[in-house]
Amino acid sequence: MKDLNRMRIVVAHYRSLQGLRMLPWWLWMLSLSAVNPLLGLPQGRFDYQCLLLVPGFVVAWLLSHLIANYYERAFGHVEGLASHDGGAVWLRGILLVILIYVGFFIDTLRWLPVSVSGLILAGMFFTLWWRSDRILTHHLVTAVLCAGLALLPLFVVPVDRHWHDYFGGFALSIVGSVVLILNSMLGHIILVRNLKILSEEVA
Amino acid sequence: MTEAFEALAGLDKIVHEPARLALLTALSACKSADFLALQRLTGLTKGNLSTHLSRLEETGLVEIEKQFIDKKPNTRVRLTQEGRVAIENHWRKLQNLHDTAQQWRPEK
Repeated sequence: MKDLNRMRIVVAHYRSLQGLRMLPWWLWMLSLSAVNPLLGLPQGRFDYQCLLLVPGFVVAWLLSHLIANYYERAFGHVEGLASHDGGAVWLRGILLVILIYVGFFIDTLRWLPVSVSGLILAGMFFTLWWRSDRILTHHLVTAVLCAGLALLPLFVVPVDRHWHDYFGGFALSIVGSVVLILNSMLGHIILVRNLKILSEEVA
Repeated sequence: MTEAFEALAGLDKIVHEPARLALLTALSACKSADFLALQRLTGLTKGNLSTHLSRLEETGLVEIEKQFIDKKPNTRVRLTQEGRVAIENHWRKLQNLHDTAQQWRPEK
């Protein structure tokens, strides 16, 4: 019964587990965020980001197409079920975005030493892991990472500094990109690992 | 245990065979899947997978559609309504059996 459940979860998330598909986009996002700190330029300058914007987009688009082709050739194609509660899914998505924005707003007010938006994201990834019957463990890793980063000022001396003092501005985009890159890569590993478990069980 | 044994004997053999049960379970979680995806999910050889799918098609549990995508042959498989009902009933029976087995205590 447990493996039948694993089968259902893996099939239902077959496309989203193909994490490498999104990797070029997260790398593009990282390059846009990291170019100024790497070149030692101030945060307000956008000249190198403008240079990276269009060529980076084209490269990311081409790479994502190549990766999509690789997945079709190596893993086949699964057409997902149309959600019966499409409206509820949209509503949950919109609520989540609003929650993150509220969290981010609270962060900018610097009332708390921790990042509220980071904790909300951690909660979201934790829920994704829990709802997958604890099979999609890459979401748990991402949740722990988000929670750890959000609570970082509590473990770092001096504690009176706010999260934004460490991760404000471009650093936030860099950290976000790295977390998403990690989640994407782990998603791919989870897919391969689960396919191995399932095929050993069935065959 | 008599009821449980009756339920066990009453399980649909077409559905209950492990490879076919895995295939039907996989197909129940999606609209359709192609041959390669089913092969990756089950680890079955092409020949074995073909045989099981033909059997499921004969019994009307799945529909198989053969087409060409970019001049390459592609076999797409989906559950029929009958197949979806059959696999859902089967899980229910398995769950009931599981629950009954949990309550069973050997006579002293």
